[in-house]
Amino acid sequence: MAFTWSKTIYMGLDPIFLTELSISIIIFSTIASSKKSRVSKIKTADNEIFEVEEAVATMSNTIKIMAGDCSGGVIPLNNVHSTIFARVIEWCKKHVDDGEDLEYYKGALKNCDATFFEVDQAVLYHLLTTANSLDIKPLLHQGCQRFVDMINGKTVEEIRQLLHIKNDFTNEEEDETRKKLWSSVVGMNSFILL
Amino acid sequence: MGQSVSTAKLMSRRDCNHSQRLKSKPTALICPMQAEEAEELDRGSIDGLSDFISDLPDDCLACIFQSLSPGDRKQCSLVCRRWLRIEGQSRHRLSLNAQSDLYPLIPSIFSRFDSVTKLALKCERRSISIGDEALVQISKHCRNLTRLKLRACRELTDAGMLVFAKNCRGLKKLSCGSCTFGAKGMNAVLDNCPALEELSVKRLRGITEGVAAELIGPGVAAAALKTICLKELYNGQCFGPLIIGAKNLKSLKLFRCSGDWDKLFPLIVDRVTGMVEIHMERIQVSDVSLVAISNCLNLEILHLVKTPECTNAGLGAIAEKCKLLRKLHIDGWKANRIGDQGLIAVAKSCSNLQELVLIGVNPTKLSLELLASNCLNLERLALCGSDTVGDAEISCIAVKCIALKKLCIKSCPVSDHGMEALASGCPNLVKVKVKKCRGVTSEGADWLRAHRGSLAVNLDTGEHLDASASDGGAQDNGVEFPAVVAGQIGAPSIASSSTGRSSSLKLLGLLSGRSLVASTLRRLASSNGRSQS
Repeated sequence: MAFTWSKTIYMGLDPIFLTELSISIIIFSTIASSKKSRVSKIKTADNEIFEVEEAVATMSNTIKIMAGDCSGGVIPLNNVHSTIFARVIEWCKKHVDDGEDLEYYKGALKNCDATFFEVDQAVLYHLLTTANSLDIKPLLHQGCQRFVDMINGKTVEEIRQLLHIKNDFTNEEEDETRKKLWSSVVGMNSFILL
Repeated sequence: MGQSVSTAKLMSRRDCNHSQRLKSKPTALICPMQAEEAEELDRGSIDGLSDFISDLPDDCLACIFQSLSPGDRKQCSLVCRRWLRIEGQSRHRLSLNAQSDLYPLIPSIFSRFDSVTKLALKCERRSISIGDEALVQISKHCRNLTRLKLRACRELTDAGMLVFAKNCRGLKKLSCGSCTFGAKGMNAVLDNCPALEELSVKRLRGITEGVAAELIGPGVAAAALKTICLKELYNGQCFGPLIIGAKNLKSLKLFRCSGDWDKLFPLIVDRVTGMVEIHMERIQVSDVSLVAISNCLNLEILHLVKTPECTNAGLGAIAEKCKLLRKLHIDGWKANRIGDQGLIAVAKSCSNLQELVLIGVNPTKLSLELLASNCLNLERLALCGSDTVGDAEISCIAVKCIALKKLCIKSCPVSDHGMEALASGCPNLVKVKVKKCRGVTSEGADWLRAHRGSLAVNLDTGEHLDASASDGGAQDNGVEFPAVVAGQIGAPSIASSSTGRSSSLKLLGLLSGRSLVASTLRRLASSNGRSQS
């Protein structure tokens, strides 16, 4: 402050004006920086509380809406476990500045996000379900794309084996309706060009 | 609850543990080592090999299906009953083989696919197609249809089109090729579908010729129509009232439709003031039409292909008034009716020009120089079948054309010497394609590649020297530039085949209806803000 004073007297500028200016600059920057670090408090299903930057947390439309209702309090997520939530937040932090272009995210999956999705099916499913319930479209999109890559080029049986899905079409006993459905579906598919 | 807050540090430690463990396991199965994680996340199954996918909400599954290629989608539909159901419900696009034996399957197909909004019915030339009763049944199942594409469905008649139109009043786009119904059927659609934005008709055999021809009017779609494309119609004139009446029309494309269009254009231009795009190929138009078109002050795109009665005078008239012109394609058919004079007029007036394609036109340095200097946004240039475009012209372009990004030269008397000029000129040049230019050798191309690494040089010498470059039609030339794939039904999944970021972006942008500019800007912004990945 002393330096400012002496300089201003020397330059003939009104020192009081400059002091007021400096003070308002300090106040403004405090407000600005506090806005930047506004945190959301989120409680997961297992009662763990996360403090997340608002900008990151509101990548989830669900949280955004709930924040509006909770107005400063703790946002409860009753069906999201902390483990998965932590991963989701990790992803959100990475992409908070990346905008909404879904095609960009598809490309990102090939590069920076590839390892994030190299997880087991259980985790992948949970990521997808959570992204859906928290309404984070880009994350959902990427998770789906991961599945698309897994399914790509596989036959019906290979898909079943990969994803451990029980085939409830075929059966050992005679069942006319099931057989009809199967054959009509196959027959139908032959008329479908795309 | 009095629980202590998880600080960032604690979170990251947890996360670190997780990611360390999980990163080493890229495959599908859960191993016993991850029992802890599985226990935490698993909600009910005993062994690690349970069917998690049944926990996945229908929406997620639908999201996955919608990103699959058509072949993969078909496979998935056969995996289990749930997948069959969801795959069917999440299908909005369907393309069917419209042979007559499709008819009995229609009820089951459309109860499986109950959300179809974009439908293509394509029949092979040699097969008998579905008839009216099939179309009627389909229309009852697909009340929310927004797009219909018909190909060679020769058994459909006016009556069938009428019932269809009454059931699918929300139709936005109709494209029919090689069908045999007539004006009544066309009018039926126009009278019942007030939201119709795009109409594309090719070879409609049922339209009668001569004086007794029934006219096709805009009906209730008058205000909605934005794009009309007519190809190979014997009596294109009967669409006159339609075009004139579509007061909000933006894009008009006429390909090989007989009739005297000089009579119609003045009437069209008088009513349709917002025209942005006009394509004319092998139709009977002369400078009379061009002068009329010059009153479309918003014109941005003009294609004049093989219309030898259009001369420099007509082009000059357009150039003078249509200052927003962005894309200009001219196939002069080597008739020399359009040349330097017309192009100079364009250069003087159309400073927004971005894309110029000249086929069978003989420009010299006179016009090329001016175009290069005046059109500071000229990014794409194609010169095909020109007797006058030689090394001097290429050098001139290289020196003067600052904004040029893509250059295509075909069947022109250019040699390696001309190519050398490109090594140092056109600072923004990204790609040059040379085809069937006898004077350009692979050595020349290699030299250019060596001296300008960032430039993609594509040389195609071709087996037979094709003297007449314009035989293949406009599509054969200047094919570099990404074509507008306007809402093609049943387009193959473009997502999986991206040839280059910019072209796939453009196609995807167009297909998804997103503004290209907006998404490009966003990407640029995000690439600045993104931390290192």
